[in-house]
Amino acid sequence: MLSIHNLHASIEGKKILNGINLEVKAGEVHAIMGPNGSGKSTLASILAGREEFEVTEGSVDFTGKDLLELSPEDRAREGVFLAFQYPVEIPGVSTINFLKTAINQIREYKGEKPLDAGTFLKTMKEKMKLVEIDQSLLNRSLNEGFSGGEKKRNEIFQMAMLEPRLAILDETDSGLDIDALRIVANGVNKLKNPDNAIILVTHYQRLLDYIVPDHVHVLYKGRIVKSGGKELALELEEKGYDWIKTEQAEIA
Amino acid sequence: MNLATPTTDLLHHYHAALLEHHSMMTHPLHGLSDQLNKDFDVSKWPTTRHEEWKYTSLKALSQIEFSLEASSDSKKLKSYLESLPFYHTEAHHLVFVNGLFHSELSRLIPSEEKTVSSTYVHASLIPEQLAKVIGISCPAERDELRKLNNLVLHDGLSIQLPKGQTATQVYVYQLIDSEQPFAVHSRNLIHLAENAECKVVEHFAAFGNKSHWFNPTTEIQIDAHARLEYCLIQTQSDVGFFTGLSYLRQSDSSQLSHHTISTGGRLIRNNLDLILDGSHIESHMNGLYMLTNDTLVDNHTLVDHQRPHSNSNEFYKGIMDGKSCGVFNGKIFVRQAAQKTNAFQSNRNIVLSPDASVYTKPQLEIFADDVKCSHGATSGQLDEESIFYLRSRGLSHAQAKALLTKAFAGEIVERIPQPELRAYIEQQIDQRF
Repeated sequence: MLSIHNLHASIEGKKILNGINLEVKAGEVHAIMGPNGSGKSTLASILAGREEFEVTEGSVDFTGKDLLELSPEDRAREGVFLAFQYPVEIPGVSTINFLKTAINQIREYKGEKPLDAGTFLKTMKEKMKLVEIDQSLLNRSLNEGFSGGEKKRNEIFQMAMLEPRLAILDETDSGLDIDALRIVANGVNKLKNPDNAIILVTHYQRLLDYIVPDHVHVLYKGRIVKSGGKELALELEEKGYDWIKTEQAEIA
Repeated sequence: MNLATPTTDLLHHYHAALLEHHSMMTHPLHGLSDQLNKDFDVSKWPTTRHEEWKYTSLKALSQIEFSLEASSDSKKLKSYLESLPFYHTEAHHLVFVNGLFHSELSRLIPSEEKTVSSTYVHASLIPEQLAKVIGISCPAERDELRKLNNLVLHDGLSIQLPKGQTATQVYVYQLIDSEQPFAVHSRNLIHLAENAECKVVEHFAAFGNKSHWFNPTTEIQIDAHARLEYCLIQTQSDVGFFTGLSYLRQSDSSQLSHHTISTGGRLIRNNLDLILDGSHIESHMNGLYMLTNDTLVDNHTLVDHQRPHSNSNEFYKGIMDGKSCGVFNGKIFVRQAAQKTNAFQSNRNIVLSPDASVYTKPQLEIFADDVKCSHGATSGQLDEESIFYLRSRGLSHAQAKALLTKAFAGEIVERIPQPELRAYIEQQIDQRF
């Protein structure tokens, strides 16, 4: 589904990614871990199409298309979803307000008819249960005055509504208490199916107790320095990132 | 001696023609308007050298040859009015065309004839009532524009509400339809006695591609415990000029909500003066202006807190596109006697194009020591992070921008009480973005 090859990227001349290689297949959950500043969020941002980053080398193929050539909206329409680490607050725009336009844009792109109001409402009610979110929240200005947990649940609610093929969850666990974490993880698990894939970007192993990954990758200084199964996350939890740093220093 | 410079020659001729025209007939407000200052002096015509007109040049206006004659097409006007959602509501509908009341297109509620009508009708029906209001804005007449209005005094809205009465909703349509450049200098006179209440919407529009100019003066006295809701909607084209003064005086415990919505015009200058001559007054002033092309909108507001324990709240927002220019000047005076005043002011602007500009200036003069006053002004582009967020959900760049722009405007629109009017304004916004 997603194939990243030798990806290099920089921002304002500063190199952040130094040759990332990653294969993600349908039905898989990948966790990307790493210390602060290792380039995890940059990778998520580049996949979603954030324009401040400059890709200097490499390629990203998504279901046969050159992802880097697509605008952020076309990536969304192709089925890429980014759950933001820091979801923006937009006064005067409610979740329901823009989500309807978003869904219909995606449908139009796929050559499907717009969703009628009744079906939209029905789908919405179903998905609301999934992340235990209240409708009043969805009618309010996006993220304005939302708690950290509400913001993240809203991200997962949008993911549920948009049904992406590839969901990238950027530090979705940060700032969540254990109950909120469980709700968010539960929602993600229910959305998982053999046709979609999930990339979890996270600093801590905590989230992986709830969403079990098939593959774990450790990102350090803009490169994937270690890959393994879910047990790698546990090892990291035990030994900390210093273990990776020392190992890398020895190699160098 | 003729003091006129070549740039004001036409203005000089226009004034001379007006003088001649008015000397030949008895004005309907004859006897009521005697004390008004009509000594127009073309040499004192505002220029950008005057501080109050620093960013707003009237040069283009002074170079138009205005006619005293205008002919209109009732059929066209009728179909225009019928396209407005609020024209169909149960209410007073006063239609003025080229400065005169148009009885065919208007609908009044006969039982309220003595409280809501045109100024000319009330001048013959209840002149003693009009005498109480006409001229209250004299202290605020800072320029020659008002003197032209004093001289011409075209017909306008008159509301004279006795104690405790509530008038049915009032819609006023000031229209210009002329094959020659034409100017309307209308006068509105409103007096709400104690505990009276009404809601007014005044809509300005013009037809054709000839220059036109609205130069209205509105004088409003709101007595104790009375409540007024006033909404001004300016939808002119790129050949339309607007220079108006709204002067409102409020007494104890009265309430005001004033909205100014400007969606088009080559040059719009709104002066809004609010004299808070009482305690426990509640005043809200909202404004929304959105222009494009080579146009200018200038809102000059003044709130004068003269007595203690009153609240004023001012919120103006602008969306500037094309080569348009937005000017906001908000004066707040808090007199020494006006302790415990709360006065808030905010002016926020979005600049959508690199050629658009905004000049905003809050001006607070506070002479009392126990007051809460705040002001803020911002201008900038739409938030890039918000645009990216919406795009990452599948909205196009244009859709994301339009949604954010509408949300920005929505904060003002939602404060307007009439649903038909909100629908109309939202429709104007939708057409634009």
